[in-house]
Amino acid sequence: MSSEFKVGVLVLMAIVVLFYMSFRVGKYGTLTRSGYEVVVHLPDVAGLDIKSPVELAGVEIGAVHKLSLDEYRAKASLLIKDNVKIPTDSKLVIRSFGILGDKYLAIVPGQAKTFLKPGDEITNVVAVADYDQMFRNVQSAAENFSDVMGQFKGMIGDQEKSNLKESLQNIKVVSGEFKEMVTQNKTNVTRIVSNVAQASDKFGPLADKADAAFTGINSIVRGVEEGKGSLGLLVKDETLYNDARDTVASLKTISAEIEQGKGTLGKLVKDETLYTDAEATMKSIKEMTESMNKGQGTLGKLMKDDTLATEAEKTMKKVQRAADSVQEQVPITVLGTIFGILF
Amino acid sequence: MFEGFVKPLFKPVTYAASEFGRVFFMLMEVAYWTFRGPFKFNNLFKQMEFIGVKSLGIVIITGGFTGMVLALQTYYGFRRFSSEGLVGVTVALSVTRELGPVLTALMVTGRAGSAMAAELGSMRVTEQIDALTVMALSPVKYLIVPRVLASLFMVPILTIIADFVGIIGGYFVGVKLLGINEGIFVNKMVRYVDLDDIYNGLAKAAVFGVILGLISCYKGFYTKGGAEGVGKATTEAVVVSSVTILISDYLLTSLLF
Repeated sequence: MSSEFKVGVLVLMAIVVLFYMSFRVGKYGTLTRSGYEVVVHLPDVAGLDIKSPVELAGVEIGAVHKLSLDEYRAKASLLIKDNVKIPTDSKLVIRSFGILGDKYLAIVPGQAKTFLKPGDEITNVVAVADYDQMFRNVQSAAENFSDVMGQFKGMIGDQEKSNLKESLQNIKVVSGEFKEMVTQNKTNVTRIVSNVAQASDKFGPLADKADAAFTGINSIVRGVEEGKGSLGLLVKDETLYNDARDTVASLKTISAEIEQGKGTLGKLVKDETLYTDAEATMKSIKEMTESMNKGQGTLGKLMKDDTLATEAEKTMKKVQRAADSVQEQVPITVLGTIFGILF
Repeated sequence: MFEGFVKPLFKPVTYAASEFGRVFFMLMEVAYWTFRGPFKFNNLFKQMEFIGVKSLGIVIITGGFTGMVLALQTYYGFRRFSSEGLVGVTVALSVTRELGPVLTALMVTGRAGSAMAAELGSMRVTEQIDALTVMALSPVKYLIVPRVLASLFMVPILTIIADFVGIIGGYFVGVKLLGINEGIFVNKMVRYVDLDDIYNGLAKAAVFGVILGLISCYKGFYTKGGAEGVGKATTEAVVVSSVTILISDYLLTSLLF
């Protein structure tokens, strides 16, 4: 075998391989350009490059063919395969492969029955929050936050800071004390509450007793009014009075007659012996009233014995005490209710 | 004083400058004689066979395993971002843009460049080159032009093979061994690798071919002193060619692409 042959085989082999690689690599390159061109205006094509794929439903149907600037917007020409028809109302979305930032164009087909012709423009471009934008948003949010924090920082001077600190400390102390108080007085509070309960329990029978006492007094008073009993008779029976009046009248007549010295008594008045007798009588009358004063006998007892009065007084006192205790216990009850609500 | 201190100090500089100048002169001569007849293609094809066809095996092995290890390494990196699909792109771009041309050139330097330097060196030492001059045959046209042209053509050819085999190796490891989705692997590769990536790599490979051919021939052509000189020339040819290839690779990549 001559060296020419060997060299020729090697060179031929290399050229075949080079053609194969060029063909594979240059699928949408200058070698095999086929398809029709569609134009689209995009606000930002960062990350998009010539030969970036155009996909429909995830299937590659073409590639970005040209990128140029058109009135501060990017104009991209897409080379679409001839056998793919795109509805006129289709949407175009810029998407990225993963997080590394390689972009591609995705076409979301519309419902229209008319299709894009070569040179037509896809007007419906959907802005998608890509990673760039997302990071930008996050950054601006973080900046805003730091601004706010800065303002807050500026607003709060040392004075306010210390005040705030103090306030917080006070709140802490107060709540601590309150807690302490409650824990310390837990038994007391419980007792107060139970006392209130007991007191209200006891108040029931006490009120009954007071009621009974009042009823008793009432019936006594009514009895007196009706002239029942000795006192009643004394108050109500006129006979005694009438008798006394009659007596006084007859005494008057008698005394007149006596003045005239008529009859026995007159004689008696005029007669000094009778006077002494009368004096003795008066004396005995005086004795009688004295004994009445001392509480002897029925009338005396009535007039002098204060048992009834003290009994009544005692009852009244008890009633008052009960009422007082009720009055005292009302705030405690209220306190008990508040504690009950709070704890 | 000048002789004592300054001259030794500048000796490496003057040496490098004169070396560079001689290489440049040789390049001019090669360019001149390339377009001057009479053309003898027989010589050229012999060199093409030696540089190209006989380096094929080593280039295939180099390219294949480079692509495979690249797929393996980038897989472990990309897996952390769960973007294993990018392994194919990374392998293809690395191989076509960088590793294919550079590794091919380095392998050809090691295999063919050293041979060229040794051949020309022993011809110089045995005064065959002087004999050519005496026979009124330009040794540059007869010995150097075919070698430089052969490497100029063959290194890009080998680079194409290396690119392809490297991508195949990456595909084998990525898809068959590591289980990356085949569709994603291939489609991403196809989508992100441009024709420019391949052709720029080939342009670099052509430049590397000229560099390695020229430097290897130069080192052999100006061999001094016996068998030891030949060995020295061979070593220098490989070292200087490789270093120049790597430096010019950076310069070409940063300037051209």
